[in-house]
Amino acid sequence: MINQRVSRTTNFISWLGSILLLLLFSYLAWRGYRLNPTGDVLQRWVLAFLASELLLLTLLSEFKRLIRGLLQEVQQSENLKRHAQIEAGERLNKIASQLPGMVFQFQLAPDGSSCFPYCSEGIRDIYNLTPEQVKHDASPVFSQLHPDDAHLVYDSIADSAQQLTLWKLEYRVQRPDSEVIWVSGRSVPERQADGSVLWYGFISDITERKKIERLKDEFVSTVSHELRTPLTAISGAIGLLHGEVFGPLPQQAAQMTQLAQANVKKLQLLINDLLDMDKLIAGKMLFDIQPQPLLPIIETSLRDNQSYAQQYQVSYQLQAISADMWVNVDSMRLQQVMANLLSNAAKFSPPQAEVNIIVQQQGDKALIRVIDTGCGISEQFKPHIFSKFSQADSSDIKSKGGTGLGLAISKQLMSHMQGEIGFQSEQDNGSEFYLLLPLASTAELPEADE
Amino acid sequence: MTELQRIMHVEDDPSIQQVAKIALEAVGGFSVHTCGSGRQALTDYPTVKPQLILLDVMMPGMDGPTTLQQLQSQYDLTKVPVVFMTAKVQSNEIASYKALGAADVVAKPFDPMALSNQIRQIWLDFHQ
Repeated sequence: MINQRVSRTTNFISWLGSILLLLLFSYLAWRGYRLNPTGDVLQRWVLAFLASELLLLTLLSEFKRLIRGLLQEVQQSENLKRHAQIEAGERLNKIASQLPGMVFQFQLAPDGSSCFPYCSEGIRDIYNLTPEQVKHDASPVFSQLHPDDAHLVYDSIADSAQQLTLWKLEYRVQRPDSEVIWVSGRSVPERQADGSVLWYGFISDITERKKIERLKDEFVSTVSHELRTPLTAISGAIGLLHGEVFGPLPQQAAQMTQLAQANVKKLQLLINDLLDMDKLIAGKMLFDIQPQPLLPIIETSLRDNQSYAQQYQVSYQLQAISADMWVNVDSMRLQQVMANLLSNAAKFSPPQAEVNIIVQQQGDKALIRVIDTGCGISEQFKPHIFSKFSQADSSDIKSKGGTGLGLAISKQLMSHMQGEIGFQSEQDNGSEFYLLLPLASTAELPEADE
Repeated sequence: MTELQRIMHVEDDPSIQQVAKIALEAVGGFSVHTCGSGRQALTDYPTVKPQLILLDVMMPGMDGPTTLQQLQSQYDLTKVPVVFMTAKVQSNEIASYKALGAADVVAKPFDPMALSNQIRQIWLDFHQ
């Protein structure tokens, strides 16, 4: 940039000099003419000729200098461009070499041939190849795809090319040394003028992450089994004692077994909540969604939670305004959501209170409302109510127990069943939690017996 | 239809063995033969001749599904319902146990006072 400015300034000075010289010689010629008005024509012409020759030579010399300057400028500009390109390429390579993976351009031609016009050195870590080996032909990369995943890769690339949508895939690579690694790829396609598609993307090695995921799965499975096995024995033994299988218990012993049983139940719920949340996060919770009548599910939920409500001397009152609604749900999971809302309502209601459950139709949706007259929810806690491990920060509320996962799980479960969960509440003035579920369409309902 | 009396319980955990035996014998009035492993179940089956098998899913060595397959290949179980006991009771897991030939699934932890009735109901449903 500075060079260019210097060059332009020099040119300007040269031109200015030329013009000044021109003016000087013109003046001299004019003076020569004026000083020698009586001189003969030859003298005048010689003087004028000399002046114009001198001027011409000066102009030619300046012109040459100008052209040379221009050529130098063009050359310098070209050099700068080339230098900038090399610098940018080096910079890209330096940055790309620090990334934990390979950065690439992948080109798929209309005839089906493919190549990596640009590829960072990271390809050595992923495919054990050099960028030069795939610059004109991508087949060394494709020959290393794990046989079970190769079709996934081909199909996903074809889809991405056809729809020009983001290519994103996790797949396995079987390297020449037989080592299998997991990689994650992501790239954006662009249609080129020649009909080919060019992707700009990144592939990283996720083998460690996959190992950790597997370890986590194994851990969860082990926890599930190892915690539940002793819990099964403990709850069974206490259940037998409490059921007086070995004879009647003294009153205080019966109270103690009841206490133990209630706490075993809490522990079971805690383990179930933790495992459910883990399954939901991992996308491993499976749903058996069927069109079915809503009211029986709600009635079962109320029945199952009746004894819990009695602990808090609270009663449930069901009001079915619309009784014949069918919904597409996993009944077990909807009961789980209802159990959560009903137990919360009972827990936070004053003794002798009623919790009202209203089932009604709202447009093309079924609305289930669980209304309590409890302590309500503070403004500060409202934004966090569906977050994991959220419990209002009050020792009184914490003493009510719970994992703080129930509502977070409920929200996820409702979302999987295309439903919604929400609430409205005022501190010290009760809460209303509601569920909205789309009604099953008539085409989904089983045909009535004739 | 004969009444259910003899139950074979296959479970590796001694505490659960004990609880289930008491729950089924003292509460339900059944006679329970306990096996600590799938291999023992295969050996004891011809002598015990159980009317119903209560089978734990996760056991070291031979797990519940493998034990069931081995029992099916060696003995005629067409009149002997096999009930899995497991903590893994997602709907797809229950479906997979039933596809293997299980009559039903009892979730762990189980209610010892309700277990006998649950098993009796499965027996009735199986023979209906």
